[in-house]
Amino acid sequence: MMARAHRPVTARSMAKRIDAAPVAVRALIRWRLSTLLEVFEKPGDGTTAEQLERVGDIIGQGDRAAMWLALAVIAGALPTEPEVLRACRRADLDGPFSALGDAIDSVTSTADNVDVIQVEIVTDRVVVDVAQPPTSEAASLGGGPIEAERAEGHAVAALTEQWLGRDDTVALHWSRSDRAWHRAPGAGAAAEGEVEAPIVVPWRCTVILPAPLRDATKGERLLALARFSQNRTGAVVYDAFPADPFMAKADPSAATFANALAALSHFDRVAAISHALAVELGGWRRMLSGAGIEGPDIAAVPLPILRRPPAGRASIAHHTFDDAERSGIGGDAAMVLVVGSTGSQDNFGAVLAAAEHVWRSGVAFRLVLVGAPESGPVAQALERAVSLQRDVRRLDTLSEGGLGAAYDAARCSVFVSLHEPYAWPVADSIVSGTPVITSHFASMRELGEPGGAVLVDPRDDGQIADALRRLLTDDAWHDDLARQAHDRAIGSFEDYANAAFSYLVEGAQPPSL
Amino acid sequence: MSATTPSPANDALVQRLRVAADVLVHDDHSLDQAHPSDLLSRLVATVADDVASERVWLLMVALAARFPTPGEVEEATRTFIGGDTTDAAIFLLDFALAGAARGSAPEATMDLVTNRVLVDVDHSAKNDVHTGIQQVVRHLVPRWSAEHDIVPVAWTDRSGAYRHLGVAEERRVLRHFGGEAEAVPDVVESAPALVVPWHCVIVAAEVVVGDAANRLSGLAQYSGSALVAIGYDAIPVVSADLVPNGDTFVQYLDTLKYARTVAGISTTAVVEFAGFVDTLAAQGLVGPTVSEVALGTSPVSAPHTERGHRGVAMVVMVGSMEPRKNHLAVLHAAERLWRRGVKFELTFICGSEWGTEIPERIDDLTRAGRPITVHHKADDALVEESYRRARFSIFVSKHEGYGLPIVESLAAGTPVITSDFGCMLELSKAGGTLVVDPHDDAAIEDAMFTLLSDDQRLEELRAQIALRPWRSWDDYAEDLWATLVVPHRSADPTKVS
Repeated sequence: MMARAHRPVTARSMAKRIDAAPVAVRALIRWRLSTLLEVFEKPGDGTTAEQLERVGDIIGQGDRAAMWLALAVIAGALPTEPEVLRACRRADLDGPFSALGDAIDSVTSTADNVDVIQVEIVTDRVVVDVAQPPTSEAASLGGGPIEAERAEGHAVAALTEQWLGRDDTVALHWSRSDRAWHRAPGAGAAAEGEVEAPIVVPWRCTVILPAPLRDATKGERLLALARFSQNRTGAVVYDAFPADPFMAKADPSAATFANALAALSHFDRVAAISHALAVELGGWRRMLSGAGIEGPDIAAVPLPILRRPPAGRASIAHHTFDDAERSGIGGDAAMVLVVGSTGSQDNFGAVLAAAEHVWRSGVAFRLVLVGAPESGPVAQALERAVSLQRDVRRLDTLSEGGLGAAYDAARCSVFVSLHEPYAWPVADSIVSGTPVITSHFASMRELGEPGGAVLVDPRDDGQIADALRRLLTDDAWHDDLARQAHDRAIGSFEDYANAAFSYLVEGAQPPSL
Repeated sequence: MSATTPSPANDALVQRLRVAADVLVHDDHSLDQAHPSDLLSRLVATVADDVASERVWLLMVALAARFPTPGEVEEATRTFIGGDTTDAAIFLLDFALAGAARGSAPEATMDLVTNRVLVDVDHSAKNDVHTGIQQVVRHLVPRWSAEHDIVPVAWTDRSGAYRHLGVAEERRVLRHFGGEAEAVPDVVESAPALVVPWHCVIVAAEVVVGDAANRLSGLAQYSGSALVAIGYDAIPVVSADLVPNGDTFVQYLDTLKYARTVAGISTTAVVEFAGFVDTLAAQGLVGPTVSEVALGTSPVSAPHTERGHRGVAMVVMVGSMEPRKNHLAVLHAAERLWRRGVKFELTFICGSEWGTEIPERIDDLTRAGRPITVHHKADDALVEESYRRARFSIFVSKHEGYGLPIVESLAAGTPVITSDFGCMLELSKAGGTLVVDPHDDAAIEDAMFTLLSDDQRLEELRAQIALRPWRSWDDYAEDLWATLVVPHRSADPTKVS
């Protein structure tokens, strides 16, 4: 670094370094230089020095976009913001070739085991960042109490599938290092030892993210892409603003999420999965003005009430319990189902307190808690209920089929979350025609208000108890709500994916679904 | 809870329960000599008769010698409502026993403070650091202390509860500017009395972090006291790519959800906190009212005496070495100017460092013979002197809540190059500055060249500085009191102590 600062690097001296590298490395770099030159409609042939001279003309004009592309193509990795700025400043002080040193070194230093991976530049296409391979059922198989994650996995998979079904899209997935994109390999990712598909760098493309951005390494590279490259950018956003204590302890943590938001602040368009989330992100956008950042255009492309899994992936659609679930849930008592979504904001404590009021008033029912914490205050409250011989069951999770069966079997469900960008359990309950007691604000209200739901203040145990008692004892009221739920229009993933695509790619204001 | 064995913890417990009983059980002198377990039973019964979260909160504090978290108050309240008094008593005893590991101060007595104003100055009291927030605190609190009835407080050792300040701490907060050069050693009392607010206004004058933030949230939601705060900025969540410790800050923001008023230190800070309040609809919350109370400044009395140590013009940049402050862009612009043959020296004054790229770049340039000076630990005098000697200062930050170095520079009569947005632009409007896009290295270079080469332009800016209106710290203190404290003081005159 010192030497470079004082002795300007020339095309000739840099060519010497490249030509001295092992033949595979030298060929790779020359190949990449030629790819880069072709995008700028310059000849890619000639000696290494001649190639470099032409690259120097492209990046020597103080054009940060050109520098971004040159670094991405030569190193075979999407650069970060500091990397782009450092290279631009070096070019400015000591000429274009001193800017390329780190990128060249990153290739030559891996000489011993370098995969000869060509870099392909994709231009003028819609690029879909397939963060999770669309064939993966990992989220649903992994199960666990994080119900939102499982449901979100379906939404991401459906979005990805719909978008990739279009003619104008290219699927890219991240390399193992999270530093570059490859062409998506289709079913079954590259096995260990296999040569990976070419690295792809988008240029003058529209890059869209169907999955939540929750990774700092990818985030810092997408930030630089959004800020410097000549690509347009769009993302579907599933997460709430990170000002929630539950998020601070969650994984990814609030800080990680804030980092992801930093990348999104340079995006062109962001589609929120609910109106409430769009309002929340609007507040975040307002906050950006202190950093002199305008922020993305934000629109709600609300996820409708959906039946999952999506059409076309129906192998797990049967609503049946497995044996363990049947013994845990089945029985004759009226069942009240509470499916946790993401953690403490699910407010299980309030549900247990409300249930206790109802039991005390002499109403019998079975309370089934799915995904309630195993320790801490909620677990203690659960223990107290058990010690009072209340009919209460706790399950870690349910299979996808068991979840549907549980909603079908339940008299009603309760989802009184304090903070939810999209209330999956409300949607699931309504799809099953089961009345749901839910919070009277934000996405819970959006999903519940059109019918089949009782809206309550989730911070008022008494209101929850009153709604629960009446749903258990007032058959006419219950049946009316069940009918409302049953009559609700069910949206389609296809319409949702099209609306999101139209907004993110074409800027069309989304219709309300 | 053995009441028969006298011990400091037992005596303290009895004292705390009696203090709580004075408030919760009206006019019952039979409790004066009551056995502690009877006292507790009576307190539990009286709270059960009239379950209000503030009564539950106070009883919990008295019993456990720490402020409960919001979740603990909610649980306790549920036990009172849903169970009988035995359930409640058992719950409270469990809570108190668990407290030993959670910041409890069992040997501390408590000082119940009713209807007064507490000012949380924990960090400024315990640390000698004197950057942005501590400067505000050390200007503000002495003025409030002289004009109003306030109780400055810090947190106990493990952030369990409030306590009074020690002698050295008082000096740090109240007499920093008083010329008391002699430091007083920090004497740690073993169990200083807790300060427990009852229907008070709590002013969070700093960014509250860690367990303290969670307990303060419990206090704000359930104790009956009103939390208000000075809003500095939301940089850790807005520019998370530029600063560390986002999680800590999120905890603080979570507490502010339950504040009544936040006084932003600039229009930009107000917009940031108002944006934050906008996000709270998604949690079914209203959030605090956000108002602007612009900070004061202290003009330097000594005249501007431009003179560099090396016989050339000196340019000063004050700010911690982190990406947000944009040192790399300034260094780049400076190197370009040096290569053009422009003569000047560059002085950096910084408290802390984050990352290695900036110091490495400074080392490179220094070794190449560039006249760069870095002061890592500069006292007020050195900072002031540097501003006075500088031809101009540069502060092209990517994100600020206020931009204190701009004001400090102007106060010393020294023009500033700063960023063309947010609070930095706000401060520029009254003159004395050149604004540039901090993301545009060439613009920074041009502005530096102008002020290094164009004496007339520099004189114009100095003339503008002389005409700037100055807002005093007295005005700040008075306006802040009117905005934060007055609206939340109880209207009931009988409660005024």
